[in-house]
Amino acid sequence: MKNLLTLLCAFGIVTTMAAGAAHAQSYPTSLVGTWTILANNTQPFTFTVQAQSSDSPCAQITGVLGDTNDTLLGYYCPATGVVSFERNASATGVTFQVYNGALSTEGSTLYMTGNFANYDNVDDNGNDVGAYSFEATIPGS
Amino acid sequence: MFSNLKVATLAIVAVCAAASAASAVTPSWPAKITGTWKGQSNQTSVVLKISTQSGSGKCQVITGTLQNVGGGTDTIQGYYCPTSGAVEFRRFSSAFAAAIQVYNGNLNQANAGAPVVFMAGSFGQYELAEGPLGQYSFSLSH
Repeated sequence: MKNLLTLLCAFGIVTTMAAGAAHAQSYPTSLVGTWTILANNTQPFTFTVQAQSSDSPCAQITGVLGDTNDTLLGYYCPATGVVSFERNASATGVTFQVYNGALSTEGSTLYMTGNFANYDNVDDNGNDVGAYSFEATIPGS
Repeated sequence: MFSNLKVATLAIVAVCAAASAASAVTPSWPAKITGTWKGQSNQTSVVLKISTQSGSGKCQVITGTLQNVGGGTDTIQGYYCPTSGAVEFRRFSSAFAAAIQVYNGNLNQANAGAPVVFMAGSFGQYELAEGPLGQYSFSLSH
């Protein structure tokens, strides 16, 4: 009886460890591609990460954002899934929004969620200064 | 005996009154954060001078300067939300149009027991020429 209990306990521990390991998740190595984003109350728009450097632990990302082709400049840390980038006005290069988020996956879809700070006193969408939420997705390959 | 009961009742009333008075003091964040702040930005001692705070919305525009001690002075522009204590600002160097750093933090609710007002959080480093990219901590007191 004692041996049977020992075996059951060992089986339970191994099963629990295996289940935990199955939930381990790694972050994507690259964010390059075109993402669709919902940012506060605006209609969905896209941004494209055109390049990602080999810098470590956080790589520089560059690209374009929105119909106005504002420039995107920021970083992505593949080990932690942390992403942050500036939205710089295409006309002046001045930063007027900053996005801070984290990566997650569901199936083959990548999600980037977090918040962005708006620094324009009243931007084109009537948003005041402050922080707002965003969610972006990109289909997996 | 009656006297002891009376004293005990008075003591209970006094304790309740004190507790009520304490709970009536609602903690709040400072309405204004203009002035000089000193502290650390990752490994660097810095001085932040917030010269203006304007606007009537929940979050108000702030402007000023940020200087590494012994180094050059950069301009900052951002916002502060007095109803939540949230503060965010961009750091602009004259060498770049885009912000080289962006600070994201919160104010504490200073009171008589903890009178030091401080601002703490993290900042993102966006310009490779200024240092490795990523997120770092900062803490400033007023």
